[in-house]
Amino acid sequence: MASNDIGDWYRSIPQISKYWFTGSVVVPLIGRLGLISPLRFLLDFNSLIYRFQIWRPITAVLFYPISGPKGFHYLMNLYFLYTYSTRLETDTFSGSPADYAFMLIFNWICLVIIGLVAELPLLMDPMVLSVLYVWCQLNKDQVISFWFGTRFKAMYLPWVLFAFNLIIGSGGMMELFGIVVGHLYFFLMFKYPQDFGGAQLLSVPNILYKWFPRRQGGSGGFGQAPPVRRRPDNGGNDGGGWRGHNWGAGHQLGGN
Amino acid sequence: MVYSFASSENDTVLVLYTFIYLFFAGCFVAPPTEFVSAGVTIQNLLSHWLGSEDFHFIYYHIKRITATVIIHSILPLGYYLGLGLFAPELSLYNLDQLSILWSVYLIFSLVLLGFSLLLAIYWHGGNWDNHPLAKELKLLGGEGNSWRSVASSINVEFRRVDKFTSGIPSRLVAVTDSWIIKTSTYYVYIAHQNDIHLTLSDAEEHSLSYQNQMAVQYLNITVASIQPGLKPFTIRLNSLELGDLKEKLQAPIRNARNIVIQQSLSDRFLKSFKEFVDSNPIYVLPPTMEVEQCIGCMQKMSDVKLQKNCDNPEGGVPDNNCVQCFCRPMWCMECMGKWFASRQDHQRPETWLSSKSPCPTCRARFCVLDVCKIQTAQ
Repeated sequence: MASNDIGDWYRSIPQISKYWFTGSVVVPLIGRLGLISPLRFLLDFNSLIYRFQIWRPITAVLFYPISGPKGFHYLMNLYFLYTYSTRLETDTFSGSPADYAFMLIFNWICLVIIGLVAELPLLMDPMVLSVLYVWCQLNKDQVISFWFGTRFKAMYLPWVLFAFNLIIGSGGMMELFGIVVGHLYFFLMFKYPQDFGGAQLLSVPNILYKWFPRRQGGSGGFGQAPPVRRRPDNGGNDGGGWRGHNWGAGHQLGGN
Repeated sequence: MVYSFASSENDTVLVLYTFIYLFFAGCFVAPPTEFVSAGVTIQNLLSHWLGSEDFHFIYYHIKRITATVIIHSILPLGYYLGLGLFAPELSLYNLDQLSILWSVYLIFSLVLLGFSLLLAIYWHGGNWDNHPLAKELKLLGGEGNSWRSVASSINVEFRRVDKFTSGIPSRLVAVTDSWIIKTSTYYVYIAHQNDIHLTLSDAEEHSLSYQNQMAVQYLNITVASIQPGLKPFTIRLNSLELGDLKEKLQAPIRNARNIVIQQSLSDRFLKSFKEFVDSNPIYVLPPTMEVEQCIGCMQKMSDVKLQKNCDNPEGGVPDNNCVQCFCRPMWCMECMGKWFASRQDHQRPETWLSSKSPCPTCRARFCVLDVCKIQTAQ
């Protein structure tokens, strides 16, 4: 495959973030170009249940109207999605993508339920916020810069975004739902079992580990081991044979 | 046939309001980190009235518990009042037209608030003589001692800087020279160091701690007092803090269930190391080679051999590459893991698995890929 910058950059995005990012670019573009009517992407209870349009929960998370005044907001979302999803997947969940996939699925299911009850047609905002919230909680003391050069600890970022949209945006409810869902995940997964000694109420189903196998040794915070690249012709026991002369195994001197 | 799940606008507002109120109430009762740092907690909002925890530990917590009970009992009523504001159609403020369900709820929340206020007044009587904490201290003081003398003894010891503390502010574990204290939302557990049995009852392992993104082990230690009338309680702490705790304790901790405590970083590393080595290829021992006891611990038989399996990175410095080690197996996996860990940068544990170490006997460099378990030839 020819080497090119865009391709290299695209291939460098970790697996799950790549799927999500791609979906969040492709689906709004389809809607923008009018290949499929954007109305078919929205979450709607009647269409979902009575017309069995089961793609709606998925497209509602991916779709966002690009045109019009929302365009800039869409780009912001895309930026947050790319940044924080990639960071989460490469730092915290580097050893087990299944845990990360489970987090996305859990947040998504919660948001679909909220979306059906509260009649929200688009779920991209809260989904991005919920992932951002989890990253901010796991890196709570990292100082980040926001607009106009303001600097604060990462744990306040979701609330700042919420306040920002409350005042100048669309009421901030979307951000609040994202925070609620992100907090629900964080509380059930980390805070409740660790701080309060409660039961681990959320656990990753084994089927996810089958789809996204654990990477070796990534657990425990001791980093990643060097990649295994064994030579096909190098069996277990001929040691440094391929480096040059095979000196054979050593023998103990003396004794019997 | 067009009717939706939320049949009317009212229901949506009701559900959303309930949802968001529950979230904020939950955040208030069990505050997340950013609420604690931003100061949205009972302790911080009432800090002026509560006084200083360091100087008047007992009085601080007597007041804190009372305030917590009252504020938490306001929450159901707050839900009702807020809902009346957000959903005027329900006409919750018009008491004549209330549905039976809402009247029951209103009465329940008012009774709850009234009860907790009465309780607070009762506790306050005689300058806090009736507070459950005061009663606990009276039991601790035994015959002839007032609870205030016990309280002042605890306060004096809590002021010292050499006490052991651990945990989040609402669930603090403190060990002073003669007391073990654990605070919780509605109570403070106290025991005298001379009158207790300590048992390590349980250990939990979490593969990812949200504090530092490392694996973590928590220990639950049951503190049982031999004095009658005092309930046993459990203190909970990170296994890395056990060493500090033991320094302050006078009684030994019984470990009846033989729980493996990961007291240090290298203990914890051993677990990852073992998992990793298990997935490496197995070294089949030639029949001429003998295996003796591990020369590190002299307890187990040697069971690992260093065998170069990794690739030399292209363009890397040749000095940093792994080298084949020609030693016969002389070490067990635990000792090899400990040796490996001891050669790493202790400030940056996230680099450990990717680093290298010299062989303990011949100084040939190896990485975790090169550690193979041995198998005797059949």
